[in-house]
Amino acid sequence: MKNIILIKTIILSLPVLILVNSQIYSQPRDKFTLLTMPYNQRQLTLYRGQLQANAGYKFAVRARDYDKNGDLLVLKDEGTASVFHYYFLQVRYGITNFLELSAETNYLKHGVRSLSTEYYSLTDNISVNTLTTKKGMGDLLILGSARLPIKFKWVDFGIKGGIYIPTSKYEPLKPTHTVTSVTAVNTFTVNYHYNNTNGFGVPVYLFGAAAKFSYSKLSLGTDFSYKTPSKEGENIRWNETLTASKTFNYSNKTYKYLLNNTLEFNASLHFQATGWFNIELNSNYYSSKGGWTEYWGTKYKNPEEFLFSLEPAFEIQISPALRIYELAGFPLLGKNKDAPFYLFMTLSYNIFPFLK
Amino acid sequence: MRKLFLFIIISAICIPAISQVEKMVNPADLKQQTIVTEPVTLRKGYFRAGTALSYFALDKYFTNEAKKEYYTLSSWHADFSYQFVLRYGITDRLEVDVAIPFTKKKTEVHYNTEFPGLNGNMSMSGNYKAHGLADCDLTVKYQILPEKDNGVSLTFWQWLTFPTGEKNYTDVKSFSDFNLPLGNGSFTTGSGLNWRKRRYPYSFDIYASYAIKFQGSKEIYQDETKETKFKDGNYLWCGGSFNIHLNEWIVFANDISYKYNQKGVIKYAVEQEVDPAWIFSYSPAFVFQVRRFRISEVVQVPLKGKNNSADPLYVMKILYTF
Repeated sequence: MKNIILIKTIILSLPVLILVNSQIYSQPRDKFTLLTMPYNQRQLTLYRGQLQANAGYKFAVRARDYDKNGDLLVLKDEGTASVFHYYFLQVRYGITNFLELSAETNYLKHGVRSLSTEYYSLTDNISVNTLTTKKGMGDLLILGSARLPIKFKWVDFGIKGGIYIPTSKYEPLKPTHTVTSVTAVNTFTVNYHYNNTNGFGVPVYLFGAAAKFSYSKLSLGTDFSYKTPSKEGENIRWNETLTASKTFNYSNKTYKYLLNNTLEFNASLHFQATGWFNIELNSNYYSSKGGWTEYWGTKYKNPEEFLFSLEPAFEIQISPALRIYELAGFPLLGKNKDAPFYLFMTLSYNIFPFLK
Repeated sequence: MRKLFLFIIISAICIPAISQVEKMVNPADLKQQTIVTEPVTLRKGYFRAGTALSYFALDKYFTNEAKKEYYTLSSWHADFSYQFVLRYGITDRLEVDVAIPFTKKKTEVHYNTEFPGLNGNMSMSGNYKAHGLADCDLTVKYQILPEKDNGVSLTFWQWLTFPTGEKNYTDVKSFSDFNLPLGNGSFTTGSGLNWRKRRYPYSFDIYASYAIKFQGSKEIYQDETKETKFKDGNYLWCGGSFNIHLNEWIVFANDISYKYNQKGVIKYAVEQEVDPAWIFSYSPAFVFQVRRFRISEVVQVPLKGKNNSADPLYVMKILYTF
């Protein structure tokens, strides 16, 4: 039985081994060739000595949401749709042709309105609006990536690992609630405004792998990444009390939490139309579960989330140093997750700073 | 002496004629010039047509104290506009532009009402839409100083906005069920000057314009049954741009502009003033010149302002030169 398994393993491995072995490593090429390498001929990591700086902007319209049963809710119909702005910065450096180091962070701006409610009684007429904003720098991700020590021709494989260092502010700022439209003692509008930040609050590990297959002008790319928190975290939750003078007193209480483990999987089909233009259709699967949040001393399981999106994209080589990458995202399936339509544009600057 | 004089005269005429070398430019190539390399106005007989798609969602605004705030009421408003653009070069210095915009607007408002004493609640929602022709523009541009070897030009432009869009709320059935207006309801005219310097691979522009808004009349709110006269404030609009070729066919364009709207007035029995407003914006853009096609992606980002929307405007233009 063991022999049969061994023979099967060898037979199944043969095509991969043949492909890998046929990619004999050749002499390094000039930097112009390396900088203008089309996607279908580009390896998974950067070339030795290559420095890449990426700056991106993502604009998303959060007009839909998937509930716990996977049913689509149209947030626009409730007036609670919103937009978010996400800025992304990444620096990558190729230490060797097979090893790369990178650092990345982001900045997020997002405001979510909850359903406005009016309370009428014989004596009171109070309107309540609630806005929850999330704003600030994200944590710093330090990542190392390695790939097979071969010249890429048809197949490539790599692994990556890193850590999100909790460099950003994670505790929510003091709320900035206001009372407006006071027309009588018991007739006014309360505007709740919660100010959240963008950090994880604890170190988070990231592991992943990627593979790429190219045949002529077509390429198939696939990668996955798994994020898991290093430990439980502690944060604060703000409480408020409305005073007779229509101002708020604030207090906060600490609570513990454990972030969800998240898994992200991408599979993309690329077509290299010309040397400078690559089009792509990516499918993205996101899943998140396993965490909890403490409320009043009791731990409650975080909702399990998943989202499946299709992402058509293209890449243009503008000049040897510059590339532009544009992507549009269309969520198709999900559970307990916002389903925004988004546009993501990234400008990539590449140089070999130490190569003449 | 006479012979010598004739020789000098003939030589003076001939030398410039000989020194002129016919410019070997293929007319087809001229139609593929980028926003940096082509003159401000279209050449004689050239016709450029296309569409501009724009998207805008209402999320934040600049207050009267010039502070950026989110809208707090549970509501959502988005504008999607597709505008047909036609440009024609009457002479090498004179161009006429027509813009015909179609707009799709949607506003959704939803809120709950609770009656604690009666142990009851009620849900209210409003869904306001509009789809159709908005206000059209006619613009005439003239190069006062045409672009020459030094790459400098000065262009004057005059435009007129026609109130072709529906100015009133229509199909009003209740306070939560009606169609939104698509037009402003008044004529606008304005003049501007644009100074431009081209030095390949860069171009620089400085511009200023002033617009006069004429008096109009419309139903200001949906519950009004008769039209009220109004006059929006005139506005000043000025700015500058810097464009750079990233390669032969992609230009990275940057524009910074300032717009100041003067005070307006609504002529009810007791006149109601509309506060002045201003906005300072930055608009980065990528402009791709793919043969005769010109594809532009622009994001207009409001940086600072007062009594104005603080949301970005996304524009994609696709134009073709015939």
